[in-house]
Amino acid sequence: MKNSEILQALKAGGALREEALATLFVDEAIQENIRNRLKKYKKRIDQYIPPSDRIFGGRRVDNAADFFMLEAVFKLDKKLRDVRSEKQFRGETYPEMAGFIVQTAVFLCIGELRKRSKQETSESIPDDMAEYFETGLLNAERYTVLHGLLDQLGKGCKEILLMFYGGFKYEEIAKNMGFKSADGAKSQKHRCYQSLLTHLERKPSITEFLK
Amino acid sequence: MENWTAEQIERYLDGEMSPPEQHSFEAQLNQNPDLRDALDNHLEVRTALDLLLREKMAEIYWDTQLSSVKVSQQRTAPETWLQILWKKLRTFSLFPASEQPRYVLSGLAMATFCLIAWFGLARYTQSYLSDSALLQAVYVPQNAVGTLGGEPTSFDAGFKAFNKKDYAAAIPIFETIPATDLKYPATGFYLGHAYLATGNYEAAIAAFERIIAVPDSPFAQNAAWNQVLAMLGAGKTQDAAFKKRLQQIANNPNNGYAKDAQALQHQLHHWLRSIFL
Repeated sequence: MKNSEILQALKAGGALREEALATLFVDEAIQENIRNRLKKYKKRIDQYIPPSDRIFGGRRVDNAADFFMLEAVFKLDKKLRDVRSEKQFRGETYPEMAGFIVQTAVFLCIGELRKRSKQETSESIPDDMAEYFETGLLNAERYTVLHGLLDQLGKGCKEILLMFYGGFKYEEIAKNMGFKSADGAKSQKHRCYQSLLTHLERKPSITEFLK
Repeated sequence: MENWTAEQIERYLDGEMSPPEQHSFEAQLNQNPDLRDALDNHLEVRTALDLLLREKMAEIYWDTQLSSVKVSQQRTAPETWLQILWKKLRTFSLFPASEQPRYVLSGLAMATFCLIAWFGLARYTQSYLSDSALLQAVYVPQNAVGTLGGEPTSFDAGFKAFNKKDYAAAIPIFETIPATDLKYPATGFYLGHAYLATGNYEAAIAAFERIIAVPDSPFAQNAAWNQVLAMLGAGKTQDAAFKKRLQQIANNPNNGYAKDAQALQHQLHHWLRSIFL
């Protein structure tokens, strides 16, 4: 996939999005850029955000630059998928998108360092980036709680929700998961969603924890 | 009474409402705190769902990492021996690049050492193993022993001059003695030494040859040895006559100069002479 096609593919969602993510993760220019920007924080990162804390999607990512790149790509993906227009990513070109990933990765790192070390850094964080630092990184405890909640759902439900929120269309979901029609997939997705909502409402402690 | 449903919230968050429906819903959202609370609950669901997306994204990331490793392995694996040879020729270096400055310095130091050693050995060979150096080391100046008795003659003056190492004065006196004279073997012998001492090697060789030819001459062994030395001084070490004479002396255990001849042979065959002379 060409760089110029990545942004559109991410916006399109589904299988194209997954292909675009795979292309993005091997972009050495982005990785190099993040690595260079984080070089001066290396000691502090090792001290305050050790490899054991660099968990993404349940797996440890030893390389700090790659870890923050993943977090940044995740933020970008969320923005592209967010239907509320005020949070959408406005960039149109690949360099703009790459710049956003690098900036976000660096500011996520700085924000986390500030939070953990309780020390200021020389670089100030722009206001529009501040929202990222409210929840912080997904630590192991938070991961376990969320995983426990999702495990209440069946495998099929998790799959259908993953596909839907990964930008697959109902037709594609129906085809992949063996539903007769798109409507059948839509109904099933709704049931799964409601099921998750019910599980959450039954356990206010989890809701509080997620807040 | 609630005038909204969970499905509506879900559709609102998923972007499935039409613009008028969305506008109406947002108007309710601004006025109804219960609706906002319900929306918050749905947002918590989204937070939980983010975990699924993260896991999927991580899966894609780790797949790319594995693919990168595989691609890099594939890039290096299928090199043919010709490619490897070509690469080695292109990047040939005796020493690793990082070690080169150290090896250059070591090489220079070694070259300097070899140069100094070369000149040192050449100098040693010239001083101790050249023909003239060997001659000086081996040659023992002769003293003329007395006279043949009777009245002092002009020859006695020749012997005196010889013993005073005034060879220039002794030579013309000794040269006047004919071969038929009884004193000839002695004067001829000292004449040879006088020539040898003054560096007139060709004349010394001839003078010693004449003494060697005298039957039963008591000076024959000494004359033969000193003729070898005269030849050494004349630089005739490669001549057959020199080698034959030296060999004869060395091989004759009864010859008083046999050991000197063997030692001289040994030094003439020294490996340094074959390099530097």
